[in-house]
Amino acid sequence: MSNDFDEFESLLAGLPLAAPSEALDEQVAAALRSEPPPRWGWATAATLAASALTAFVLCFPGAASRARRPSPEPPRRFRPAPPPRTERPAPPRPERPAAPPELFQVTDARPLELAGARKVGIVRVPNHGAYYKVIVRRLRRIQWREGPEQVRFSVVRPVEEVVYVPVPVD
Amino acid sequence: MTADLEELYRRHRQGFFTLALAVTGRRDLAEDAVQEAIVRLLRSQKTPADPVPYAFTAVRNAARDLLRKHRDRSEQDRERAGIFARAPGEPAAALGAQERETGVRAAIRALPADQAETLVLRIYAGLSFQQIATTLNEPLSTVSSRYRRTLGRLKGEVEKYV
Repeated sequence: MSNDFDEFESLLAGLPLAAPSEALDEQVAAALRSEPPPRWGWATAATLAASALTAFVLCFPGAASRARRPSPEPPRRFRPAPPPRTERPAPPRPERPAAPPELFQVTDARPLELAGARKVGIVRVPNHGAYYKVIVRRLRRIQWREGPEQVRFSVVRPVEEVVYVPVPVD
Repeated sequence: MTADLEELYRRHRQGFFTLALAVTGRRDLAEDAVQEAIVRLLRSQKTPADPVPYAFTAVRNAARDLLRKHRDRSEQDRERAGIFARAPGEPAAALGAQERETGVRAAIRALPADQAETLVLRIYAGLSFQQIATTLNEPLSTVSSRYRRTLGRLKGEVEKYV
């Protein structure tokens, strides 16, 4: 069995592969030539600031407690009272679509932006016809969360099942 | 880092492209994915113990991202590009071998994504099972058994053509 597989592997390995174009090599070379941005990020700056603060506190142990002491209260300034609010009638809200089922199959999602580890996008709920704003987290499932027009979901299902369509959302 | 990455690309250029092509099914997307992965690796702050599976993971992720973005177009293009070069006309004497090769191509094209990726990483990228497991973020035993299952399936399919 193993020999059969060895022979078959060599047959597979002997097949000619589709080769990438020279344009790819040029693009990669160009990317490699352009130096990456310096590794001087916020993390480094924060670390240095923290160590400088520690050194300062060690050198001047009283400074930290003095710094924490409350300063004398500043003189109060006279502020005129704000004008009374006029009650405005609230604009009529568009009619809410009916809530989708708690767990549903997402067929169409449009990426909007990346917010930290969360992907914010818009999904279309089948048999519902409406688009909803969603927050997609990896390896979770999609679950109904809250309304009204822009509905937020947390994802409780593998994100691979969410289909992204590159249509700009206005 | 840049020199290391350049060397990594030089050594695994074909493997990167074949993996991206297996994922996306389109040459243009595959090339974009490789380029995108290289850019991501350049910007990456991590220094992995083994850069090879790390780089292949970056290629796979970039290919998947691009596939998601272009899924509607990819579905319209019914003909998925295979990972193999178009075979030139073979002489009549090698007709059996040609049929066998045609069978292999068709069988590989019909493989599910996880099996195709495992096969590509093992045979065409030359990764060890451990490296494949790291690339796919799966247990070693899963990868190993899937590879054997894939070979068995392919062999069975190919024998139909011969």
